[in-house]
Amino acid sequence: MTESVLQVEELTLSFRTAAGLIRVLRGVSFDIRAGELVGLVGESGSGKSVTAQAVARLLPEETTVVESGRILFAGRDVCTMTEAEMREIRGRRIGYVFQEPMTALNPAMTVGDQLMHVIRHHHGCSRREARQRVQRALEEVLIHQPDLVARQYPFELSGGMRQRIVIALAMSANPALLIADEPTTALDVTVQAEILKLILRLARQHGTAVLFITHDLGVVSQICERMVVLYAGEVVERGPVREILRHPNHPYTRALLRAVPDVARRGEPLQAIPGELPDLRHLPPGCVFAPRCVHRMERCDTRPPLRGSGDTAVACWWSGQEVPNR
Amino acid sequence: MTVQARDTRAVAAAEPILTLHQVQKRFLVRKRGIRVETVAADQVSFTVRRGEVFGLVGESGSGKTTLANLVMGLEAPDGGEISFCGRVIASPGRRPPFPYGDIQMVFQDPRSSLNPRMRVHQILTEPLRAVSPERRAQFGSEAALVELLGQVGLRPESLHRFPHEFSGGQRQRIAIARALVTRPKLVLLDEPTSALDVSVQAQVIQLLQSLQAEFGLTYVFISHNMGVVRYFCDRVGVLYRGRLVEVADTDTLFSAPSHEYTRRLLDAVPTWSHAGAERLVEEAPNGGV
Repeated sequence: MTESVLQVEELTLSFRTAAGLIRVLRGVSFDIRAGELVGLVGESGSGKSVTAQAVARLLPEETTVVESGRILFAGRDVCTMTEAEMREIRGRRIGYVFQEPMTALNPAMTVGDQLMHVIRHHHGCSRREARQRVQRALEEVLIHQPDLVARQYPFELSGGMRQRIVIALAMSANPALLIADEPTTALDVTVQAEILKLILRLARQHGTAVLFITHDLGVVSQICERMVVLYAGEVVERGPVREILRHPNHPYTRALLRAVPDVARRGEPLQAIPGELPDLRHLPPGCVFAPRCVHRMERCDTRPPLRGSGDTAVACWWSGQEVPNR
Repeated sequence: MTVQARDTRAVAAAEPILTLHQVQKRFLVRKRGIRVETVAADQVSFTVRRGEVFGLVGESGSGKTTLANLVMGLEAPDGGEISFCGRVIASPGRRPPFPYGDIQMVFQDPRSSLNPRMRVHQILTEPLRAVSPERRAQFGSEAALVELLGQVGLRPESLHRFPHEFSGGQRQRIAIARALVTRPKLVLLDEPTSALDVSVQAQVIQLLQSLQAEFGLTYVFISHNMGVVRYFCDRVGVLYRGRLVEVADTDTLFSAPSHEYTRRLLDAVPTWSHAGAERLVEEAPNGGV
């Protein structure tokens, strides 16, 4: 079995707010092996972006409290590193692609200059060599006229092109882990398909592991090998994408698959999930999904542990038993 | 909790409620300081039948919003004609009277479409200012508003609250109630679920379906979410760069798209529910995609 690039172990994290501490992640655990693509799936408030930002330590230090747990990147705990050590890793060993390419890029700098800046910082090479690397980096993200695009400003480019630039920046140091935080959410579907292919191809070529954050089950099924399902700050289920999509074990995952209309299905009834996403300040004492769960039983008032074997794990008291099918 | 896809045969025979005839709309935009003409609607013609859900799909820049604005009377066409219930409501040059209250719209993001400083009562009664005093009296009473709130799944006391006191899904319910308060015949739904969390989307879709039956509504459903379109719409028009490239029954469109762009659009949509659904990731190890 390949070694893990990233291990998140029982991570519990809170935000300091005017209304007191709000626990946004509770005991989140998962790992990513070298070169593997893992999807982190969840709705708003599930903690998917917070997890990603915690890994790259992008959360504001003053208001973030890691209560317990560890984030091991290449065997070292990210949470205890100094800022100087972190700077060596962030950007260089961990690349980050943000949702909105326009805000991730400097609007007042040409694309070429931005890439040049980053490449010289990472590789410490001469201007001439850097210029060649910029050219190659742009070609690698399938930009057909690299000379022209290098002279352009972000606002002159389409959303898809901008996201390619952000990917080129993130991949320029050849990181071991690429974090892609909803990289296609702001894009049209035909462009989304191209960007997904691009990320996958680059990851395979360079052996980069990818942590892919999304709320779109279709996207996960397209490019991830394993997935982690988050709900209200907890991992409710994780395992190989194929298995989960075919046989979801957690009632939330099942309900989600029935509630989201998929193009390949027609005529099958759509089943809404009753209720609303929980307020993180007032969570139920037991299972976080219990208030909306049709299979709820008395036992669900105590919190179910994440149990499983190998790659597969589920946090549900029903797991291992026959769930009444309805 | 379960709503089956409706029988669409009855709709096929129904009379037209909205007709666009060779509608044209151009905009002048500045590109690097030079004025360039963009054709946002290029000879667009289609008919929406009474009681159906007509989907308009296309990517950003395809002209979906321009068409919505034209139908709502927010923009005037440069050419062509739009008729509603047999009467011309938009044509170039003159401004025909607009049937206020008969055509309403639900916007994409209820966080921005509801005035944060208005209580729900005020939000709901505002559209009634544009309709006749009789209609206003009939539907603007507290009892009528409470009933309407109940029909969209909100409690009576919601009437005196502010939008920020509600969740995203509830806010969209308020926006839907606001559209229905004048008892319109036609409602334009502009991506009504795309700002909502996926677990809440289905609730709103089911609500729209039951309201359609209850109020006898016709919907024009603007979306880029092909999964929702397939589930919700009877017929679909595909827009590409301001042109309507294909109009077809939903099933026909998804099983046998005739235009090249429609095929490209459908191929791009990631799907998961088929056991044999194509996945990018498994093609990768042997040489990439």
